[in-house]
Amino acid sequence: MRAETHSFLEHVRNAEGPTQEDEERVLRALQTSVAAGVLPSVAAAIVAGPAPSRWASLLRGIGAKLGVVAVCASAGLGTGDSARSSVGEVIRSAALAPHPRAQTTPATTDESSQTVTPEPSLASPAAPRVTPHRERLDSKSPRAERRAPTLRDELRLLQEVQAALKRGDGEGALRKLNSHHTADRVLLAERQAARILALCLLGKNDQARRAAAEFSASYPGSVHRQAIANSCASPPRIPGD
Amino acid sequence: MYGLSRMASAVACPQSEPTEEADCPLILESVYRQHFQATWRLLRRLGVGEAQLDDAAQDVFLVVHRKLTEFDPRAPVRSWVFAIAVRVASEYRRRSGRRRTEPLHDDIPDRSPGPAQFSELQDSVRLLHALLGELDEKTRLVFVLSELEQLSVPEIAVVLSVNLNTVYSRLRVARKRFDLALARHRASSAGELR
Repeated sequence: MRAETHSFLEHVRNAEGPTQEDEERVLRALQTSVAAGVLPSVAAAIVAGPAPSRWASLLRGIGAKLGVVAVCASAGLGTGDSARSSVGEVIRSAALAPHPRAQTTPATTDESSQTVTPEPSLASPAAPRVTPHRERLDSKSPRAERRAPTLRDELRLLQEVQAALKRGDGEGALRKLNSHHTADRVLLAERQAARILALCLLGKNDQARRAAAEFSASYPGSVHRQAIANSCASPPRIPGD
Repeated sequence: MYGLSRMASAVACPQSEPTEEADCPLILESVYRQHFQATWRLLRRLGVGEAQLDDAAQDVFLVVHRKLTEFDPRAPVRSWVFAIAVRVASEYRRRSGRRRTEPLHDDIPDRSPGPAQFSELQDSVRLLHALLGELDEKTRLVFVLSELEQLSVPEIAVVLSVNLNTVYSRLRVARKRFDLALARHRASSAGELR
């Protein structure tokens, strides 16, 4: 392409995008839909995605052609986007109950006549992931060991915290939360919510309420507000109300 | 103790055991925060009208939500979300009955925050959409993903479920057509000023 075209694209590439208000508005609608068990209004084929083996064969084929050994999401690679892609590891493990068929928006005709097909998974265990321009970080290499905690590390930490909370181990949950810090704004909210629940487990209700007040001010739109409101951190009811 | 396990599961999803909770709010919100802006932009550039953007974006993340448990962490999240967005955009365009040759956006609002000097940027954005509208759907897809969202060719191949050669081929055509379309527009504008 001509230099002028490159220059034009450079000029417009980031010239449009959603506002913060757009982001919060869609998130609120999404949260409401998820809570209500609303299904997407798009055709079932979109929900099904590629055929079960398609991702795996695509990734293998791409890897073979480029002759690059894939790097797993565990590498915690350089760019923020690829580091954040390791959220997929936790996504894979998260178990979701099937949504009820009840929905508030009309299904498309495709959905109503959908044939049940195996749900796709993206890659077989052996499928390589191609990252041709990124350095491969072996998890045992000195450089890997010195790197800052990745999103993957933090999600693993949060899983451990959650397991501690589930078994009633508030002390253990707090110990894990204190073990390292994050600068990630979204995960900060998760950690603070977990801290509040851990304080409740330890009977430190006043501390939990103070932390909950700060949480509400810092993260007014967080999905965890309801969980916190249902905990010891909600303000005590005045008798007779 | 009141339902602490249920409250705890609202903080982080259990790793291995199935849960009766329908949602995994931590992970969905994280994916949403990471990818909403790029997804919104992609939907817009693939021709979803301003009035449908909210619904289309919501549909993308509803699909993400439904498929969270099946997502393989070895695949990049961005590619997966974009693959869903591409399909959602196609569905919305199909519903709105847009033909190939129609301009993508005749409804671009002025989102300029303020002074008139930003309107030049808005004009450029309108021009971008007009030029994208001159590409057919397949070439527009690869062009937007490559030249605007800056995905690599292998990533594009995964998003579109096609092989590498197909992406290279469509990209060559897309770049050439876009280049020509922009040149024509500039020449036409220069002619009008004389």
